[in-house]
Amino acid sequence: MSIGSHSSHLRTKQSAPIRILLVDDHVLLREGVRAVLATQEDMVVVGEADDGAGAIEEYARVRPDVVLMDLQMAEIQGLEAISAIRANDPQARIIVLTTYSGDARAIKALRAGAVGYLLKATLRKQLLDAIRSVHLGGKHLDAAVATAIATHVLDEPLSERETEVLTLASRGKSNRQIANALTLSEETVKGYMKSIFAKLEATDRTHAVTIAITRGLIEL
Amino acid sequence: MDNSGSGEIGTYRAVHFTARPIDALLTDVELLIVGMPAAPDPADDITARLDTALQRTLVQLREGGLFLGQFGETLVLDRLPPPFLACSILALGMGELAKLDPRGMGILSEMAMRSALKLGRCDVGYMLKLPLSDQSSELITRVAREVMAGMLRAINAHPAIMRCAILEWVVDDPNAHAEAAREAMRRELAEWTN
Repeated sequence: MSIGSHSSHLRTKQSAPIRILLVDDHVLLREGVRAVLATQEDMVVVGEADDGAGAIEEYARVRPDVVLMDLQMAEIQGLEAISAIRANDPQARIIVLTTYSGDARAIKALRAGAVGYLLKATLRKQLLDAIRSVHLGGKHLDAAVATAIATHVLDEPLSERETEVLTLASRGKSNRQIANALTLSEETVKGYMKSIFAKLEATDRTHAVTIAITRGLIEL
Repeated sequence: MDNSGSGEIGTYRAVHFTARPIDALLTDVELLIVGMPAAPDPADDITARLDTALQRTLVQLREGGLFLGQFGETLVLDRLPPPFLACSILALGMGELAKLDPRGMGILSEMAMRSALKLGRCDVGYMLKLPLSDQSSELITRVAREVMAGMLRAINAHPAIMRCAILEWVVDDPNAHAEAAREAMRRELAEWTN
């Protein structure tokens, strides 16, 4: 029990404003969030980036207390940026702010080191609460997102190959076309599909694709 | 004022303390703070009841390694679904219960108060149950004083700006020595105010 370190850690973060880095490829979104944060005496935006590479660079330059990070961006995506930032600074406090509600994306983000996962439809108060919570060292989730995550967190994940097979199926490819594209036999592809159905509890390939898209297991 | 026999504890700066049994589902507060041990505890009926209403979210997050309940670890769950009346829950990691002592309870209480103040909450239900095998009045008194001292430390460390004129803080006290615990908290508070 590291009692001493807890107390001192909490005390040092008490007075200075929370320094925030905004990462999103949409200028309007950044402007909106910046306007909301500007109304808070205990928060200040110290940097912005419009892609993952910029986020990594800007994080190293300004060393913010909290990062608000989009997931879907050009070049380096949010998940890779979270991993890279946390690799350089394991104490980095990163909140994902995204349009995607799928549990698989949230689980990946949390496993990569994010400490909050919020939807862009989030209320202003929730966003501010999340920033304050994670600044104190905690995690912050919408209860519905947390329940979706918890429901599937112990599921056996799709393998890389299964994800490739299902992604091609989502593009309308037949088993034979998938086999050709991945240099596999058609029987092997059928085996992968069977395994995918079992893991996702899907009744057919359309059902499997629908589940996978909804949960964020594959990207279109 | 003689408060013995009532749940009234007192007021420190802008925080008003009372103690009474509270219900995790039916308590209408802005923030409900609950203890979460690092390992399942069969005697922990508070977390069990709460997590049933949350569709086992906390237990599965712990099993999935996303919230372990380690000492001092916190997780806020916002926008709670029915039947909860509280707006949000702060799950506070208690670590291994066998290692938790009165001082540790004080530190957790300091963290709980600090979080509530930082989030600007105006009414809070505080449910941190120490599963004491030794239910002596002496130990309960020590725990209660440490809990109160921890909360008062957090108040002292917090900047003066608060969202609400008074933060109503209700401490859950379901145990058999509730009055001894209340009296100990009153005594601790009196030492800080004099």
